[in-house]
Amino acid sequence: MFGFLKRKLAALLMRQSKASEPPPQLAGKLEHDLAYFADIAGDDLTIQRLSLRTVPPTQAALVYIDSLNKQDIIGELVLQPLLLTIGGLPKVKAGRPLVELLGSSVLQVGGLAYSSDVLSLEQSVLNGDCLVLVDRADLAIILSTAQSPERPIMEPNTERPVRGPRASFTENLITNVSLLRRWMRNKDLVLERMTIGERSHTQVGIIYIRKLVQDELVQEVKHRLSRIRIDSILESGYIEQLIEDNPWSIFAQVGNSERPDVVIAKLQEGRVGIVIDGTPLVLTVPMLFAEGLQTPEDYYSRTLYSSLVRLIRFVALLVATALPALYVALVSYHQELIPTPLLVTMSATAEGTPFPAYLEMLLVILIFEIVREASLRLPANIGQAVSIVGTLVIGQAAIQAGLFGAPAIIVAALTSLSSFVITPHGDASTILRFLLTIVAGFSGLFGMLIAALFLLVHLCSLRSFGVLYLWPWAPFSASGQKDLFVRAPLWMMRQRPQALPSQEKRRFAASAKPRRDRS
Amino acid sequence: MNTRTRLLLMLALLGTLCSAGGCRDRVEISELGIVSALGIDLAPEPGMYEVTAQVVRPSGVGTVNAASGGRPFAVVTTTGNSVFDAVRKATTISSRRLFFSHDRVVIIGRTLAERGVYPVIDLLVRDEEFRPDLQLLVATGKAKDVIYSVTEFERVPGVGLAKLLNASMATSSIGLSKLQHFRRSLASLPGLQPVASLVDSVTAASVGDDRSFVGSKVSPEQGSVPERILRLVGTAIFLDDRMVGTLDLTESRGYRWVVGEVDSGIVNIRMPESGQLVDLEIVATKSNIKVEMDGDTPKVSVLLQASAQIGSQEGDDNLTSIESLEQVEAQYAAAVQHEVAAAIAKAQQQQTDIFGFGDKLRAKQPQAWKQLKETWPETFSKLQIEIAVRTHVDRYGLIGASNHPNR
Repeated sequence: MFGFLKRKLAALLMRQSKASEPPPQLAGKLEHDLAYFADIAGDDLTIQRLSLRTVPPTQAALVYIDSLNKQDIIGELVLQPLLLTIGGLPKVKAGRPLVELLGSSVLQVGGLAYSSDVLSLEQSVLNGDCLVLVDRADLAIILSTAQSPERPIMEPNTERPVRGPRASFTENLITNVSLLRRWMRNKDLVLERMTIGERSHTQVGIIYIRKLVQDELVQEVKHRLSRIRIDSILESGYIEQLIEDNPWSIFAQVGNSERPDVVIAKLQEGRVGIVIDGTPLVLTVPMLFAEGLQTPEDYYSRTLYSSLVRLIRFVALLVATALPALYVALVSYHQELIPTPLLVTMSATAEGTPFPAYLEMLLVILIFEIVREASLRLPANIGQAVSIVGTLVIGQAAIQAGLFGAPAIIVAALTSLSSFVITPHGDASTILRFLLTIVAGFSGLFGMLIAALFLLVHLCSLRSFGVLYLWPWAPFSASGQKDLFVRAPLWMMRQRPQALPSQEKRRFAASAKPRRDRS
Repeated sequence: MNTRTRLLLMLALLGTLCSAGGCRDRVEISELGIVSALGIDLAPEPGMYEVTAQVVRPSGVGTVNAASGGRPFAVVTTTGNSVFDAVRKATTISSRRLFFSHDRVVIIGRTLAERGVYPVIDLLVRDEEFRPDLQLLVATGKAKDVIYSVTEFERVPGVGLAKLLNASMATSSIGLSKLQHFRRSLASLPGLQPVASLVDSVTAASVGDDRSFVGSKVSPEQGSVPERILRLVGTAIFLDDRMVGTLDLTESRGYRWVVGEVDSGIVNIRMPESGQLVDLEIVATKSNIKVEMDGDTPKVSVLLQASAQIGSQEGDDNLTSIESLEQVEAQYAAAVQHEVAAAIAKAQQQQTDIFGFGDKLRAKQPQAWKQLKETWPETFSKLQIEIAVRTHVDRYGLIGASNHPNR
């Protein structure tokens, strides 16, 4: 109640303060205007005064940040034209006309804009642009001269392609958008820019295919992005966590990919991509549960094999989530369900192990998670040492010492192996693995069943940007089944996913089934 | 209540719900004594039962170092006022809780079987730990001897016995009875009488096996006790819950012909002209029982359909001709008829309707059944049973005509 009042009051005050102070504008006096910029970035700022050879000479100044620009480019493209070519130009009045003449006939830089708004000029300087201020003109030229260091486009690291393009996004927003545009040379691939982060002013791009995506979705994405009030965005994860539907859910509700082909595929299904400067990933919304089990190779390889791999992936999801719990439940409660020879063997190995089954299992999967985390954090060349410690010490020695039984280690190994198959749902499945194992230790299959029901209720209620997470299971969609447990031939998948609001329901009109021409 | 509180509440509820069981019934497998065979006898003391459980010793079975692990099974013997009582008393001997869910065979001693098995069956079907598909057997002597006997290929004799029963489908000459079938028979009395497999425990020497090289490996722990091996010998037939007789191997197959359970087997026939022996391998069988009322007396007709292929041939008869195949079929039908007649005669002699003719009648003509129910055993023993066998032999293996040197 009070919290609500407080928020309301704050919003009211903010609106008032905004209205009362108009944004500062350039005044047209060089010295006065330069004072606005003097406090930017400390010693990193360069203010270079020039004297243009007009009659009479006009004072001017360049304002730019050193570390974001290269001197030779400024010299060649800005200084040289300004100082040398001005003599042969028609005479114009000082002030705005002169500025516009400089922009249209002198300066040789591609990205060029005018502004007199001090705040936006300031931001431009911070983005790496170079300002040209001219005395007696209340208009400044913004030149896109930014030259920030950038790494080359490399092979994707987390989504390694077996068959597919070897290109992944970099930290540069422009590079990323250019990659996307290379995969889709279409005028309807639209980028909209935003700035998020009250201190970091991170560049964020919303990218989508106009006429395909539903406008409401774009509006919703823009709305959620504009609602973000945070001082800085360091990685796409910040944005993801600030726009998802249910922040307390264990399931990821925003997709991401480091591969341009994947992102384009998602955009083609009517999704919206969010490109963030400084992050080599592009977020895509909305996300469906089934997306976590699809990989680009499914579509690049031929249908039958892809379908088999799909099925295996579903098995892996079940194994990664529930196998340790199932093991505990069977061993501690439902021994009659284990085949007799296996039970006898397990009973033989269980002799002399000190812990009850659920504790043993929890310890083993905990150790596996520690090993995994350790090998992730360590430099690549030491990572090997970890795996040796992990396999030899834990696997071999623990069994020989009689600390753990071999079945528990095998189950845990199978589980963690499976969890690598389903990376998008890896987080959720790890949490569930521990929860289910504890529940199974308390009440066997009965408890697991109850936990599974809770999980199902949660999943059914989950939405990502208004789209039901469990589509095409719930709500059921017949045509959605074509891209679920199996991957139907491309020529059969004529419909875009119906759950995603899309203006064009069909991917292609006529039958695309390959056939031999009758002659 | 906002989403967050609701979620926390939900998690708390989930937690309490899942822990509400409170580890009830949790038992580690290292605390279980896996029973592989259970033998039940009458104890020497009047009114007491003697229960003998064969318990797997996991360290002696299966794993790589099985040889060093010692004997593959332990035997726990207790007596009590009831079977359940005796089973519970096993805790005074065994440190592990006896666990029956993996027990596939229950053996009942002959004297107990003849006195009535209901007290045993009641426990087996009432307790949730026993499998409904476990096999019931009657020992020709004491069940305890069967428990102590060994099987050649399986380290755990109980498992070996179960596999032995399974393998008997190759001859179809052992009557099989799963617990659930036995129970169903008891529920359908007197229209369907129960049967059980009959198992014999004999000393190895008595079956002509001197065990000089095999036996030495299996038996050192058993010291001076003469080694006993298991042999399936036929079928025990019951009247109500009391065993009243046995069927030998041939009669047992006769029984299985009627109930339609012949899977495979060998039938020896002699060719009528040459007198040469021909072996037929049974391939597919079907039994069709019809029970009808002819006035006041029920009439039973059994139609058997059996096909076979020629398995081997002693002499030089050309069996590929249609005429000779017809002869083979006729002999085959006669042999089957003979087996069936033998089984029916034995059952009628004991007045026990193990074939379920009465049950068929009940299903078809419940009113007539009501009249006949009380006197059914007697009626059954005088029943006219018409047996028709339709045989079909048209395959003769990889060679056609005989390759006998005389040809």
